[in-house]
Amino acid sequence: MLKVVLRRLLAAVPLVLGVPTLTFVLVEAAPGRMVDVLLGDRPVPPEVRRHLEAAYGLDRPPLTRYLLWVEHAATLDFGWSVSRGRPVARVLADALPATVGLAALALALQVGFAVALGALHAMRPRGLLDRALGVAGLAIASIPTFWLGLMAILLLSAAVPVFPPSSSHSLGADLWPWPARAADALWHAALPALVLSAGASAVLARFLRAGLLRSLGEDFVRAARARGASPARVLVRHALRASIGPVLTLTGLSLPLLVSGSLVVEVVFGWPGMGRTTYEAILGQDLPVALAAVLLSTLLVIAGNLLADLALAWADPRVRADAGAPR
Amino acid sequence: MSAAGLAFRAIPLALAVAAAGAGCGRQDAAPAAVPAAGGTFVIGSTSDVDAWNEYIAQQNVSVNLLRRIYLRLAQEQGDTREHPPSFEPLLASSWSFSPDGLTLTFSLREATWSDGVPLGAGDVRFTWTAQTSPEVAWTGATFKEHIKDVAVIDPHTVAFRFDRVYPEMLADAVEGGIVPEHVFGKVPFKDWRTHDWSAERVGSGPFLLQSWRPGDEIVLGRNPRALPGQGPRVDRVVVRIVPDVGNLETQLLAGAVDLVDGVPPQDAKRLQAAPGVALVLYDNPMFDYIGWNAAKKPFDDKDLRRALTLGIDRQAIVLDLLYGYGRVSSGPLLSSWWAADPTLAPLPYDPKEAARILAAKGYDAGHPLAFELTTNAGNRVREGVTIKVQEQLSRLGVRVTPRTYEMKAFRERNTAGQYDAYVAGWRFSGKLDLKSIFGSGSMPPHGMNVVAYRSAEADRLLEAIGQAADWKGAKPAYAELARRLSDDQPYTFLYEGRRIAATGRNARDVTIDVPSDPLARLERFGASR
Repeated sequence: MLKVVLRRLLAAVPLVLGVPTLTFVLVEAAPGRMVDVLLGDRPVPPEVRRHLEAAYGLDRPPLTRYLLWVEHAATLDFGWSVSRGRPVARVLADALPATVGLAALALALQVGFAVALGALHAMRPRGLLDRALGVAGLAIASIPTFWLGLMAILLLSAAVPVFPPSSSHSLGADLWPWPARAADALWHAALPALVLSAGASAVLARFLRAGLLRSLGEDFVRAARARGASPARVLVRHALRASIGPVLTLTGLSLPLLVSGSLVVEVVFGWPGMGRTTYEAILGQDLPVALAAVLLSTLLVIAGNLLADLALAWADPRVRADAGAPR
Repeated sequence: MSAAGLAFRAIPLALAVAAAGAGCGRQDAAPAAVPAAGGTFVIGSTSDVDAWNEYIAQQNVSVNLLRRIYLRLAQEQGDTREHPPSFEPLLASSWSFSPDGLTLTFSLREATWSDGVPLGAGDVRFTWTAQTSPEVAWTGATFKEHIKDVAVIDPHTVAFRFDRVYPEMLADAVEGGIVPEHVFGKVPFKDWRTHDWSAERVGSGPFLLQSWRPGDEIVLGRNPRALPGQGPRVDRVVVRIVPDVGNLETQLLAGAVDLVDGVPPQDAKRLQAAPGVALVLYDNPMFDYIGWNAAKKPFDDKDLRRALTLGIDRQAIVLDLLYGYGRVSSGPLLSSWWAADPTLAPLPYDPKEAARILAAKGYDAGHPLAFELTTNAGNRVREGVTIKVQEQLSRLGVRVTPRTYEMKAFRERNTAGQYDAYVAGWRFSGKLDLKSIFGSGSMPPHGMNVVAYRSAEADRLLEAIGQAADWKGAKPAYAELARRLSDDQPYTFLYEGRRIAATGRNARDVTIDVPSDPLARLERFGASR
């Protein structure tokens, strides 16, 4: 297993180096100069312009700037955020917990909904409920996340104000004790997490449905029925346990998607996380934040994939044996 | 709010109330220096503060909030129709000019910083050295270009010495908030752009930065040592940062936000119809225009530029794209400014005359005039203008290709002269600087005369404006310049917009009477929350 992990980590090195490099090249290749964005249309003396470029290292050639960034990034110094007026590391440290929290809640909702929907699907295969859920799931999985988010705000924040339309906390929540703050944070995160998890829940439910239908025809399920187990117990206790493995693996694989997909959701809901930070950094030409955010997202994606691989290897001995076999 | 909403909201609120009963969650009691109504006023903003230092910050929201923390010597007023803006004393109690007009002396009020240190003339001089330091690289440093020295006469008297006499001396002297030398002076100027100023929370204004969650929320609390009469009416001002203006509008309608500034014109009527919501309209100190590249044929021909302006129905643009919240421009002098000549009417929409000029220039169906009209991507109104102009000029046989560019690329193309025509805007804060836009010596990189406009007559008038000792002396030259520009049409002056702010049901006494500083009266805003 250790070899599998090491091999995966080594394979990730080019990705970790390549993605920020590509981001840097793309931003640099775009026409225009960063200092012009900082100055806007204000006419300033040439020496002000020179000092402004020098203050942010923009007077150096791109290659020098990139190599300096790599050198500093190796010591976790990601530079200065022009758009936020603070070190990039602090910008990311502020944003990361919000994204991780949102992704964790979305993951929990995703699994919970997938299991519940999958079970409903399998209760009466090809029945009315099964078909209706199938159509609804397909529709939700096909809807772009930003549109789903806007509709959720319109329906559940504006028309029927059940959830707040944006932000991560209520006014004055800082002064509340932690149980109230936690409840408030959950209330604010609920709608974005729901939107973030909706599409994947629908897809996972379809996988679970297929697994459940297969399991329900197996001998051990027939034996359980013969022993007099109730239909619900047969479904949950026996068939679901046998079918949940692939769902958990797919959930692991969707972890990176939750992190990257939160970009759209965070922008729509004004959620102060990594996705919104990355989006605003790119719009504001804040290259140090964009590079560090892309690097962090890459690492999260690699970690998510690795966790999924490990989960699969743990769940399926054939995969473990294959990974450990000499090549 | 629905029953379901109440149920969801009840959980955190119930826990909070329980905590309050147990003695938790109390705010620090501020000394009751100023009677206050209390409460919290909530502002919705689509952008966050980019730096808690006015001389580093670029975002309007930053400067608007920092002005409430670091007071100026005097506050600009919105009374610009009859004369240049007047100023209301703030840190300065009075000011006077020397007989030769070259020295402006301010008497300071007895004031202290929020940490108890006296605020004095040394702080004013320190602020000027920071404003003019190339290492700080303040983009507003040109306000100070004629100030040669700031001398400390005594702890409460400071003298600004100018190299010449001109109308905007007072405006230039008071531009920028006074910062505390004993706090800001600890950071060398060369490090100002890479210093986290959110940690420095000493101010002189009605508010102090209480907390900042970047990208999420800013809380300003009252300054217990605010100047007499400057104390805020509310205990706290919260700025909710939500990048989507539609989402902010939803919060406004729900009563969660009290003020949204910069409402898109298409949403104004819908918001106004909502119970408890009111619109606050004010003059936006800016105009939008089409810039014609006079360095390139055929746009070097002023008759052709005039024909194109005559062929564009700008009133229709104001009605269709600004939903009527604006007016057609006659020139660069905003109608709300003292320098504007009310007798100068905008060029009319006259497609027949436009067609006649175009035909005289040799353009017809066989040889149509064709050009590209660019603007910055993401500005819906300006993007709409390019489409409207395409449609309107197509009736004259002119082929317009609308195109948008990302802002950085847009600026670079314009500065390099790589365009036919573009749609953009100018915003004025405090004073008019037409020389950097229309002076023949202000071509890039020396200025912003991107359209390569050259006119000896305009240069003479700009010089006369610059040399005038007072605004009354400058006004005739401004009027003459406006007529020259109207004749030459280096720009097609499109419109002056009206800016729209919306207040929610909890807001009280929201007044916006200084267009360049919409939060100038923030300390008087009230809230029923």
